[in-house]
Amino acid sequence: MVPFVFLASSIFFPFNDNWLHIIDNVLYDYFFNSLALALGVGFCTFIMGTVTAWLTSIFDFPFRKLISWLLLMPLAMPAYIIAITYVGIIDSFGFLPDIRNLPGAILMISFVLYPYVYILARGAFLEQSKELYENSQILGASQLQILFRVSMPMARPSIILGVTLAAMEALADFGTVEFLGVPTFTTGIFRTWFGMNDTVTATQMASLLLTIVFVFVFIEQYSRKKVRYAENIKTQSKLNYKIISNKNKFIVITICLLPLTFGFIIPFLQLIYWSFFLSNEAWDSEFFQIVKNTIFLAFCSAFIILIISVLVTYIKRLSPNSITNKFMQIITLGYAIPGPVVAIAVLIPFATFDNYINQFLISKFNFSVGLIFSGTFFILIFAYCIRFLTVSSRTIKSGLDSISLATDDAAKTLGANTQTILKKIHFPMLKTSLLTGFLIVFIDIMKELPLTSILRPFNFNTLSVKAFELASDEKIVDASNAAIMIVLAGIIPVIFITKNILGKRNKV
Amino acid sequence: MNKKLIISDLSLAYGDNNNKNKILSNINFDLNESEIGCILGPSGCGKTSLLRAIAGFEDIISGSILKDGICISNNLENTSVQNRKMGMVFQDYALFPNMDVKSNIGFGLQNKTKKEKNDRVNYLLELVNLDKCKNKFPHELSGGEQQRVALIRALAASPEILLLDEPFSNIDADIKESLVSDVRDLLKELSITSVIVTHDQNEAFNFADKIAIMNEGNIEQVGNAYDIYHKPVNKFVADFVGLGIFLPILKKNDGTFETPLGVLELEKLDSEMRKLENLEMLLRPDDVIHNDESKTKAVVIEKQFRGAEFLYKLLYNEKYPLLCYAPSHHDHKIGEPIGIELDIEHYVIFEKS
Repeated sequence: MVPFVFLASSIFFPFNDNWLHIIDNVLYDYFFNSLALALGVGFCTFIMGTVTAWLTSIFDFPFRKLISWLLLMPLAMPAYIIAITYVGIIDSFGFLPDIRNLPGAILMISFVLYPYVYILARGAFLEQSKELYENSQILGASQLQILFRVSMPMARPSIILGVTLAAMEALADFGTVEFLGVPTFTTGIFRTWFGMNDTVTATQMASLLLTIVFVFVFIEQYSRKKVRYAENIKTQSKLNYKIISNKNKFIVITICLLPLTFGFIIPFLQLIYWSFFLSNEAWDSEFFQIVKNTIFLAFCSAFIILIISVLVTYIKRLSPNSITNKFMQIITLGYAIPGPVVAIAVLIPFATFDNYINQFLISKFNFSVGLIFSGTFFILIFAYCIRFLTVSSRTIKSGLDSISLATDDAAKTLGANTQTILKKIHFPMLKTSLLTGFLIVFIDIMKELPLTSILRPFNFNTLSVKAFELASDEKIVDASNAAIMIVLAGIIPVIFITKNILGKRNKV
Repeated sequence: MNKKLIISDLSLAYGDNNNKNKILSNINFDLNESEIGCILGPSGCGKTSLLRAIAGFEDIISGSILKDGICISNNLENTSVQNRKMGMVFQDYALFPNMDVKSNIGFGLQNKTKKEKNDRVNYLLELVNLDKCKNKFPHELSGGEQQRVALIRALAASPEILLLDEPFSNIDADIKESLVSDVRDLLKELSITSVIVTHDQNEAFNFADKIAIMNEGNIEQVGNAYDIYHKPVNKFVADFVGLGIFLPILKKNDGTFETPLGVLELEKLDSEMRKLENLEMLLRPDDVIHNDESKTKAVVIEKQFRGAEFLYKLLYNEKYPLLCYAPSHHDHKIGEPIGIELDIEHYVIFEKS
C-alpha cells in the first residue's frame, strides 16, 4: 500500500527544472508514443486474435487442432526478444524496412500479445450455442452476417478484455521500446531516474503514467463483469465444425499460420541459427551461473507469491466483505502497473526508510547497519509480488470458485473438519490451478526485465537482463543462448495450460 | 412417544447488528422418531434457511432446536455441524468431483476399518442398485444416479436425522414420481427421521407424514396432506396448495348465508364464522361434480386435457368462475353449458381480504 500512497503524494512535491524541461521537450512524445503504442497494439491484436479465433472455431481444416494450440506459442516469446531477433534479421538483409520506430514496436509487441485476444475470443466463440447459430441460419443470415451480427457482439466482452490486457501490457512494456529506441513513458521514467538522477521528476512521471493505466484498468474490470454475465448462459450443445472446399482450406490455414510464423517460428529459428555461431565461451560457467540464478530467483519468488495468493483467495472465500478483502482487491491491481513504476514506487520509500534507520542508529548508538532493504532480494521479491500477485490469485480463485460452497457443507455434515476438507477435497481439486498459477508466475519472472534490472542485488545477473544487455551492446548473436533458454522455459506453461483446457473440454 | 426433533420459537436473521434482515420468526415444528416431515413453501420463504439451521450451518437468534430432548441450538450455544449426527442431501447433490462413487460414500466413515468401510459402502450401493457405478466419477453418472449416491452418502454414517434440500428438483419428470416413492420406502425401511424441503406439493404429499406450510419466514400450518388440502387455515395455504376458486358469500338478514350456488347449511359453520360479515368460500375442483342430469348448468370457458380427466373452467350465471374435474370421456365443447352438482364435505370459509 505504502508504495502507491507515495506515488500519489508525489504530485505535491515541488516541480523542478527537469520537469519543465520534460514538459517542454519530451512529454508530448512520451504521451503520444505510449498512447499510440497501446492503441496500435490493441488494434493489431484485435485483428490477429479475432480472425484466427473465428477461423479455428468455425471451420474444419487439416491440422485444425494442432494449429489452434500452436497459435498460442508466441506467448512464450517475450516482446523484447522478438524485437532483438528481427533487428538482427533486418541488419543482415539490407532490403527490409527498418523496425526501429513506433510502427515496428507496435508490430513486434502485437505478434507476441495477440494470443490474449485469440484465447479469450476463441473461448467465447466455442461457448456460443449451436441453437443460436442454427437459429441465425434459419432466419437467413450468411456466415459473415452471423459473425458480425451475432457471434462478435456476443463475444464482445471477452474480446474487449483481451484487447485491453494486450494494450495494458504494451503500455507497460519497457524492453522492446527501449531496444527499438521509441521514447515512451516507461523509458522516459528510466532515463530521468538514472540518466538525470532526478527521482522526484521520475516519480511524478510514474504517477502520470499510472493515471493513464487506471483508465485501461477501469475498462478491463468493466468488461470482466460483462464476461461473467455472458458466461452465465449455459450452452446445450456444441457447434459442428463447418466443412469447406480445399481452396478455402488452403486460405484458412495460410491466414492462421501468418501470425504464428512471424510471432514464433521465424524468430525462434533465427535464435537457434545464431546459437550455432556461438563460441564455446558462451556456454561457460558464468552462463550456467546465470541460469541457476534465474531459476532460483523465479522459483523462490513464484513460491512466495503462490502462498500469498492462496491466503488472499481464501480470505475472499471465507469473508467476502471483510476489510482485508477490499484491501487485497487494491493490491491485486498490480499487474497493470508498468515495471519501472513499480520499481520506483518500491525502491524510493524503502531507501528513505533505510536511510532513516541508519541515520537514527548512527546518531543514537554511533553504529551503522548500512542499507537494510535496498539492493536485497527482499525488495525485488516484494516488487514481484505487487506485479504478479494478480496473475496467480486469479488462477487460484477460478479453481476455488469451481468448488461450490455446498461441497464444503456436505463434507461438514459428513463429519469432516476444516483440515480434512482442505486435505481431501480442496487440495486435490486445486492441484492443477496451483501448479498453473505457479508456472505462469515462474515464467513471467524469468522473462521480466525492468524490475529485475533495476532492483536486483549488485552483480546478480539473470537470463533476461543478460540477453538484453548483450543485445543492447550490439552483440545479438551472443544473446541467443540466453534468449533460447527463456523461450524454451516459456513453452512449458503454454503446453501445460492448453493441455489442461483441452482435457477439461473433452471430459465435460 | 418421545419427540426426535423439536424446534421451538426459532428465529433467524442475516446481516450485521445494525441491519438485521429477519429470515425466520417464531418457528415451531416437531417430529416423532422415524417420522418424515416436510417444509413446503414458495421459493424465498426461508425453508432452506430453516433446514440449514437444523443442520447447524446457521446460528439462530432466539428459540431452540432439540434433538432427543437435548438442546443442539439456541442463541448461546451451537453444537457444531460435525457433531450433530445429521445427514444431508443437497439440492445439487454436492458430490465431491475429485472422488469416485465409493470414496464419496465412504467419506463420512473415517474412523471405521477398511473392511467395515467397504462392507458398508457395498451394502448401501446394493440397496439402491448402484453396484455397477462403484468406480465411476460423479460426472459420469446420470442425474438420478447422482441423487442416489448423494442419498446413500448422507446415510452411510447412520445419521440420526436426515435432511433433504429439494432433492428431486433436478430429476426428470418421468422418473421423479417413482423415485420419490422409492426414497420414501427406503427411509421408512431404515426408519430414519427425515426433514425434506420442497416447493412441489405433489412431492410433499407423496413423501411426507407431516407437512409444514411456510410463507415469508413463518409457518402457516402444520398437518398431514389431507388436512392441508381440505382444511387450510388461511387463504395463503388455500391458494398455495392445490387449485381452487373463491365464491362470495352473502349474509342475509335472517342469519342465513347464501352463495350463488345455494344456501349454506348453518350447522357446518362454526359460531365464530357466523358473526363475520364479509366472507368467501373455497371451492376445490373436486368439490364441483359434473352430472349431465343436473339442472344447474355452467358454461365451459376453458378446458385442459389431463389424461384420465378433464379440468374444466366454467362460468356460472355469467359471472362466477368455477373449476371442475370430469372423467375424460366427458368431452364437452367450449361454450357448451354442462350440468354440475356441489359435493362439499366441509366448508372452507375465510374473511374477504
